[in-house]
Amino acid sequence: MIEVSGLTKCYGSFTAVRDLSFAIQAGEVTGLVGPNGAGKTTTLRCCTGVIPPTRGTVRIAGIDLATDPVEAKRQLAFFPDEPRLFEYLTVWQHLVFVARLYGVTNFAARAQTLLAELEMADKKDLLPGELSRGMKQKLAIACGLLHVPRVIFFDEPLTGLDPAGIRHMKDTMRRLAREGAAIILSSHLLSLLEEVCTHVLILKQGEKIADGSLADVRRRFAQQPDASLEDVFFTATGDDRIPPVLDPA
Amino acid sequence: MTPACIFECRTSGLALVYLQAMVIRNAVAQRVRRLRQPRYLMATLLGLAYFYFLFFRRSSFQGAGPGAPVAPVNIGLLVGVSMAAVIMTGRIIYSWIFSADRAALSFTEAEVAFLFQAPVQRRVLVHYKLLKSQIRILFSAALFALVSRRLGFLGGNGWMHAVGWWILLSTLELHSIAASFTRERLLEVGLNPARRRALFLGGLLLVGSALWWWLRRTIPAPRAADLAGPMAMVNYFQGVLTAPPVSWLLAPCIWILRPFFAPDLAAFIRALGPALLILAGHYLWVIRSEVAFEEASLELARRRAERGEARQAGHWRGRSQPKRKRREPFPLRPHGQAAPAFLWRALISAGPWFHPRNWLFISAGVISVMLWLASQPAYRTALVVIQAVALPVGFWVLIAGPMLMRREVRLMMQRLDVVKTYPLRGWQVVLGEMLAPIVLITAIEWLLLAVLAVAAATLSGEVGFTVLSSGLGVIAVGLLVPPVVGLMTGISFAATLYFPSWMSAVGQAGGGLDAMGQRMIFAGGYVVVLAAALLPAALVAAVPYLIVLWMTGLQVGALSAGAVAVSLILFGEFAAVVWWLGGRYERFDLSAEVPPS
Repeated sequence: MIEVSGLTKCYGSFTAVRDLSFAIQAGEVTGLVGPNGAGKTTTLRCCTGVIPPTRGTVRIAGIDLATDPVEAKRQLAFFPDEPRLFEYLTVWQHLVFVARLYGVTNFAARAQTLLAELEMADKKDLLPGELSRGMKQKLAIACGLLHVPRVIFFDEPLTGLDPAGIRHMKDTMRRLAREGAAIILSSHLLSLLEEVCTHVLILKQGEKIADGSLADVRRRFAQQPDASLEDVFFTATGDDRIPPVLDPA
Repeated sequence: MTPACIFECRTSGLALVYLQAMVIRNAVAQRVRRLRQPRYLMATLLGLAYFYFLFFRRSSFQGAGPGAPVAPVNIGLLVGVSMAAVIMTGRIIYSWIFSADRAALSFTEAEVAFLFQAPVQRRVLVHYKLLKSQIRILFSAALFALVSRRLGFLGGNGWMHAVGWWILLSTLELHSIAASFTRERLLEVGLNPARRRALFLGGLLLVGSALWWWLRRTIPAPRAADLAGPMAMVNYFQGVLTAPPVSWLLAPCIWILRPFFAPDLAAFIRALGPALLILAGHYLWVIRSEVAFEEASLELARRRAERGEARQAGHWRGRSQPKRKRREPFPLRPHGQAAPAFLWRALISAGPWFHPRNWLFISAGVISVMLWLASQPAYRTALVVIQAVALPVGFWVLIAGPMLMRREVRLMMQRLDVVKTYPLRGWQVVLGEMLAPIVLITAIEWLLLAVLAVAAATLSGEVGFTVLSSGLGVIAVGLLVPPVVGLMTGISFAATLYFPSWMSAVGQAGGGLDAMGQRMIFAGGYVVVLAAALLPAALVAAVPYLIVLWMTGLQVGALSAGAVAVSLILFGEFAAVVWWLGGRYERFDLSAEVPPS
C-alpha cells in the first residue's frame, strides 16, 4: 500500500531524512517513532505530498506520488495533530466541501453513516467553534474518511483529547486497519503505539534504525522478551540520557 | 514600610528591571542579527531612509533653525490649549461614566505566569507595569515630537515638545490606571457600574447646570459681530473658555498641556512646575490605591493573547465575536469542478453582505436611489458629489481590494499540510483561492460603475459626455474589471508563494523599520509588475482601436473595440498567471522557508 524507496529530504546542507526505504501493507498499523529532530514530520509530509522530497520515490496504493499526485492523493488521508477546520462552515458543509474536492459518489449516504458512527448525527448544523476539542477531531476524521482512503497518516492523534476521545481514536484506528487500510501513526506516546500498532519504524537523525513487526524489533533490540516498547526505543536509539528505573528493593 | 519590606521590594524590583532590560536587549539583538540577511538589511535601510526624508531632512530636532523667526504667541495657540483641554476633560469625564473595565494592569501571559505567583509585592508589580509603559511612552513622545515639530505655528522646539508629550501621555496613562483602581474600589464598597453611572451623570448634570447659570449671568450671548467670521468666533469662544468657572474646570488639563504649547523656553519652565505636580499627584494616587488587580489582569492577559493569536490567523477583530451559522451563497453539489467549492466556502466566510441575494437588493436599492436623484433637477449637486466620490473609491477598491488576497493566502498557508493533500492540480487550488476576491471586488466595482453611469448620463450635458458615450464607457471599463482584479490578486498570490517570509511581515501590523521597508518594497514591486502586465495589452489594443477609428471615425466605437481587445488579452494573461502559479504551488516547499519541526 505504501512503498517508500530511497527517500531523502535536504534543507540546504542539512539532511532531515536520509535514504529512507520501507513498505507498509494493507491492514498494518505502523508506528513512526524517534527522538525530536529524527525526521518524523518531514517523512510524513513527504509521504503525503505536502512537501517534495529531494530524492527517492513514494508510491501510494501503487501510484507514484511524484508522477500522478492527484490520483495518489485520492487514495490517502492525513490527520495533523491539530484539526484544521473552517470557522464558518458547519459540520455538514465541511463534508459537502470535501466531497466536492474528492468527487465522492453516494455522498449523502456515506456522510450520514460516518456522522452516525462518530456520534455526530445531531451536530450537523454546528460550527467548529461550537464543538469540543474531541468533536473537532471527530469532524476532521469524518472529512478524511469520506472518500474511503486506502492509506491513512496520523500525526500525534491524541493531542488534547480526553479519555473518551482517546479510546474512540484508538478504536477508530484499529477498525480502519481491520477494514484494510494501511496506517502510519507518528507519536511520542510509546504506550499508544504498543497498544495500536502491528509494526514499528524507528528513526534517528533522519536515518532508519529499525523497521518491522513489533515482535521482530523487540527480539532485535530488547534483552528480555517482555521488554516494553519504551525499553526497545531507548536501546535502539542509543539514548542513555534516561536513567533506568531502579528496583526499590 | 519596614526596612525588611523595603529590602524585599528592592531585590524583587531589581529582578523585574533585569527582566525588562534583558527582554529589550534580546529583542534588539535579534533584530540586529537579522540584518545579516540581505532582505532585512535592504528593508531596514529603506525604512531608515523613509524616516530621514519624512522627519529630518527639512527640519532639525532643535527647531526651525537659528535664522528662523520665533512663532509669536497668538490667539490660535491659546485656543489650541483651551480646545485640547476641553477634549481631554471630556474624554476623562466620559471614561469615568461609561468605562466598565475593572482594575486590570496589562501584563503578558508569561508575566502573569511568572510574576503573580512569585513572592513579589503588589506595589512592585505596579512599578514594573509603570516602567514598561514608560518605554512605550518615551518612544511615542519622541515620535510625536518629530511630527508636531513640523507644525511651525506651535512654537517651542523639538525637546520641549517631547517633554510636553511625555507629561501628557504619562499623566493620561496614570489617570487611566488610577481611575480603574478607583472604580474597582467603588465596586468593592457596593457601588455597581449602573449606580456609579447614575451618580456621575447626576453630578455632571448638576455641575453643567451650575456652569450654564453662571455663564448666562457673566458672559453675554454672542452678538452678530461675534459670529461675523472665524477670528471673531475664536475670540468669543476663547473668552468663554477662559472665564471662571469654566477655566477652573479646565485648569488641571490646561496645566498638563501648557509645557507642550509653550512658545519659548521661559514659558516652558514656568509651565513645567504645575504639570509635574499633577503628574506626581497621579503617581501617588496609583501607588497608594490598595485594590486587587490580579484577577482582572489575568483575564486581560488571556484576552490579549487570544487577540494576538487571532491576528496571527488573520482575524483582525479578534475572537471575541460569537460565530453564527451563515447562509450558503448557493447550493453546492458534491460533484463538479473544484473552483466553485472554494468560492462557496469563501463567500460563506465573507458574511451576509456578500450573499448574492443581499448584494442584489443592495445594488437595486443604490441604483433606485441614483435614478430618483437623476430625475430630480434640484439634486444635481448631489449627483456631482456622488460622482466625485465614487471615482476615487472605485480606484481605491481596485488597488486595496486585491490586498485581501494576502489574508486568504496566509490562511491557506496555515492549513497547507491539509490543502496539499487534496487531490487537485496546482492551478485548480490557485484559481479556487483567487476566485472569491475577484468576485467580491468585481461586484463592488460594477456597482460603483453603475452609479457612475447614472450620474454621467444625467450630467452629460454639463460635463460634455453623451448618454451613449458614458454608457459604452462604463460597459468597456466593466469588461476590464475582472481580468485586472484577477491579475492584481495574482500578483499578491505570487508574492506569497515566492517570498513567503517577506509576506508574513507585510501582512502583519508593526514589526519595526525592516517590516516597514518590506511593505514599501512590496508596494513598489506591485506597481511595477502591474504596469508590466497592462502595457502589452494596451499596446496590442491600440491596433483594433486605430482600425475602428480609421474605418468609422467614431471615437466611442474605437474605444469600445480597444477595451474588448484589452479585456481579452488580460483574460489570456490571467489564465497564464493561474497556470504558472499552479506549477509554483505544486513545487512550493514551505518547510524550506520555515525550518522543520
